[in-house]
Amino acid sequence: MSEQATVAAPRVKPVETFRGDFTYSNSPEAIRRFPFPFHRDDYMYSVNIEPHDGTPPGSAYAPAFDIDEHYLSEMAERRTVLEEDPKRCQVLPYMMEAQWDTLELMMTSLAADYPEHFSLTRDGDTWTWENRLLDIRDTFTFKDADTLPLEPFEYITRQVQGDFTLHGQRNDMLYMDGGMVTCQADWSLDFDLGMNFYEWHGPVPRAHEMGVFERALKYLLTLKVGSPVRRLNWTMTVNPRMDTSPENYDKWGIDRATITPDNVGELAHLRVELQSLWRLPRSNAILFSIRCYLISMEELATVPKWARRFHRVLRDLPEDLADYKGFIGFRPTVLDYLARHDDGAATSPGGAPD
Amino acid sequence: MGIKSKPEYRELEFDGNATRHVLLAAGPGGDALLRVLDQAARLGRDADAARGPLDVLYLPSAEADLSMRLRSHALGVDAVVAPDRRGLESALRRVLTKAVMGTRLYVAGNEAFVWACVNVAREAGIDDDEVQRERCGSLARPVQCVHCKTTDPAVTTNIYVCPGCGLHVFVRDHFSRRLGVYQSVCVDAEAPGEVPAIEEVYP
Amino acid sequence: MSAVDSIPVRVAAIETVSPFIKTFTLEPTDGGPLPAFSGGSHVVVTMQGRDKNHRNPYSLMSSPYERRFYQISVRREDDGRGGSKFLHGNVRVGDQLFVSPPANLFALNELGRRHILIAGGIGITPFLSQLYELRAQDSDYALHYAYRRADDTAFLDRLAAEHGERAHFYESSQGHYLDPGRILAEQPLGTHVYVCGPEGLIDTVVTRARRLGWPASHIHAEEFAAPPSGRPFTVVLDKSGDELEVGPDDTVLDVLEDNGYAPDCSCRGGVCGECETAVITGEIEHHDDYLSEEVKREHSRMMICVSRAASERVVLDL
Repeated sequence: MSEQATVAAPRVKPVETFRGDFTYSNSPEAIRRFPFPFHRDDYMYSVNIEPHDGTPPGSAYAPAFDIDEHYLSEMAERRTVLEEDPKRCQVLPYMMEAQWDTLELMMTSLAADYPEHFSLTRDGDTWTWENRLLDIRDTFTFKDADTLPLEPFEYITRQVQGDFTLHGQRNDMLYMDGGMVTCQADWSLDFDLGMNFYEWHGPVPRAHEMGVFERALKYLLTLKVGSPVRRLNWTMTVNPRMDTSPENYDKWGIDRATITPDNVGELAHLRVELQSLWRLPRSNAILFSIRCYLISMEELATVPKWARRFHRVLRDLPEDLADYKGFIGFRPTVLDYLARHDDGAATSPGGAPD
Repeated sequence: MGIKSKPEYRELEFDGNATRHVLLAAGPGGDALLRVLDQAARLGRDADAARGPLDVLYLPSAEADLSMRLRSHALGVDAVVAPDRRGLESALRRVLTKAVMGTRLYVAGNEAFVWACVNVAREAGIDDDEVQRERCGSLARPVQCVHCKTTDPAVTTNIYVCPGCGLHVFVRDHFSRRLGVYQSVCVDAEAPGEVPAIEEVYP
Repeated sequence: MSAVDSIPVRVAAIETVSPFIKTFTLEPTDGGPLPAFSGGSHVVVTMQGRDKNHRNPYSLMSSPYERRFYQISVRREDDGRGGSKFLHGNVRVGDQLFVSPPANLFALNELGRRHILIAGGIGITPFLSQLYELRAQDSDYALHYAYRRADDTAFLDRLAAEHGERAHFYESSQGHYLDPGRILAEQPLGTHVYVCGPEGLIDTVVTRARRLGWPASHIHAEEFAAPPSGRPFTVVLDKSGDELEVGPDDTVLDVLEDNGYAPDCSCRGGVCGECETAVITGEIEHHDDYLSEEVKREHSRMMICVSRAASERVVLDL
């Protein structure tokens, strides 16, 4: 895993914005490594879980926790969201062991994957953590929360891209027992906190009937230490907006009405979540990492295979799923745009660019 | 099939496996308690010892007041009639400080009442599988606005104006047991001013 | 556990605890720290015998905060399939074994306000690691430990010294018997009971708790059923076409592993669900606690770590 595969130090851009003037964009290199989620021209909801094992080398999937050119922007966005709404980070009181597990996993993984940016020095329980990207250097006592400026989970997840949730396992069930959730696809941590696995997935259509969640739960209950797994999920977002929370839906919902044939390439974004799941050793809890990537239709169309395939997937997606994912209103405009990039040619298997 | 987080309710039923019973109701929920008391009484005198202690806590409401019938029930339980919900909740806390493993909680009333009681019990260490819940009386829902977090304890319509932020919000089936509320979300965010017809769906 | 998941360890010490029980201290061969774990976890130990490999699950009894070594205690089962006899008779200090990463099917409930641990005989082992956690977290707990003779266990002095009045001992040869009814009566709300030991003890505790009105969510039992012996049969692997013979004391899982397959598995006791396998044809003699009665009646799936074929041949979707 991360011990073996050192990933090249990413070039990190200065801060761009995910709100207001929306200066966020992807460099050509970031586009090439975008985790395009469709391996075929059709799509259906499924468990689609695979080992998160450091492969393929050089891809966004390889690091334990992917750090990319948007690091500073996403950490700045997280600080802004937390200032407005501190309840985006909450952990139930009995999860302290899981908080330390998370901190240890993230610090050791980042230091191994990105030695130029992060380092961890351990002398017994005295640990020194250095994050050169954010100019942080702290010495603290492992398992003594008073020696850190914040609780361990909040401390470390303010330094890692992606949303994170913590799940206690009791009586063959997983519970939503904590999280850092600032770039979510329309769900509320504050509301879902404490729910069991079936309850927090309650609003997802079709999947319950298909037994998807029963199978996924059975699988996750036996997740092993040292053998993390991953899956991809996706939706569409208007503007490169990270914080599409229900809390702020009254502010961003209007964006969906702003899509026109002229601006669709720039405004409509494919939003992909690279989700990885980790068994935490001392707490026996599960850490769920939800790493969000955004790519505009214009940027997507620079990869001909992706434009062709996404056109076909979006066109054939059932109405209820398009409705649940929140883009049923502007789907036709996106389809018109993508149709211009779909010449009907066959696409190669797998998600990677040709 | 509805949303999985939406709670299910069923008729209360005396649980012969329990060794202590705490019965709680508001308003018309008193009928459900009378039914449980009847079931306990049918077990007969011999069962008294095995059945263990039984507490009845009741909150009369404008909808119904069954205090007299509960107090005069043949089982002869000394029912506590509380003046308001706060009084009932503190009576429940008192009863639970003496309770031990083997206790069953039976709760009947509207959803706001049921979940307020469940949460008091949870603080005392009682789990979901130690509680029976029956919904009685009004279908009004306790709802929390996801935007400003203001809770309205009794919403009877599909859409209402949030007293906290003034937005028109739609009541979803998504329910949080921890907070004891349904979730409501802005209904006209994508087309401001276009509010669908407001109907009374939870009378 | 597949071969790539296993961690090479060196036997650093063997302590004879009683005529039947030995404690093994296992250190990582590569010197690096072993994976951290939670109280109640087990590992599967792989031993390379002359004729066949033995793979047995054992609870970790060392401190979850200790990563330089693991400790397991092994009771010699003369009627077993040979793993415990091999550990007792053939394994020496300095030998190499393999362990899987720890997995936990018997964790303490972190919401519990009080924890009652009931152990019978060698069933004490998962509690030994949990007791470290309970003490470190300053939890409210009690240990009730039943055994035949004090000579059979070396843990008594240590438990008495470390846990004082929280530890209660019952030596049946001296006429002291553990009474679950008394232990479980009048316990405060939020108490959880955990039991590990012989089937009879587990049944008594679970039945008594239910009769006292305890809800299922507060009753926890761990029982590693040793896979039973039975008639030999042939297992046919549909995908590869391989035909393998399963002897009276073998399990399907063992035979597959000995032939180079690495099916998913963890507990090797029919409880965790990892090795669930689709059955194409054949009748199954189920020994697991995992599959539903309905599935068992259909003979459509089997847990290959403990269950056997009732027919002479069984075709599996492997």
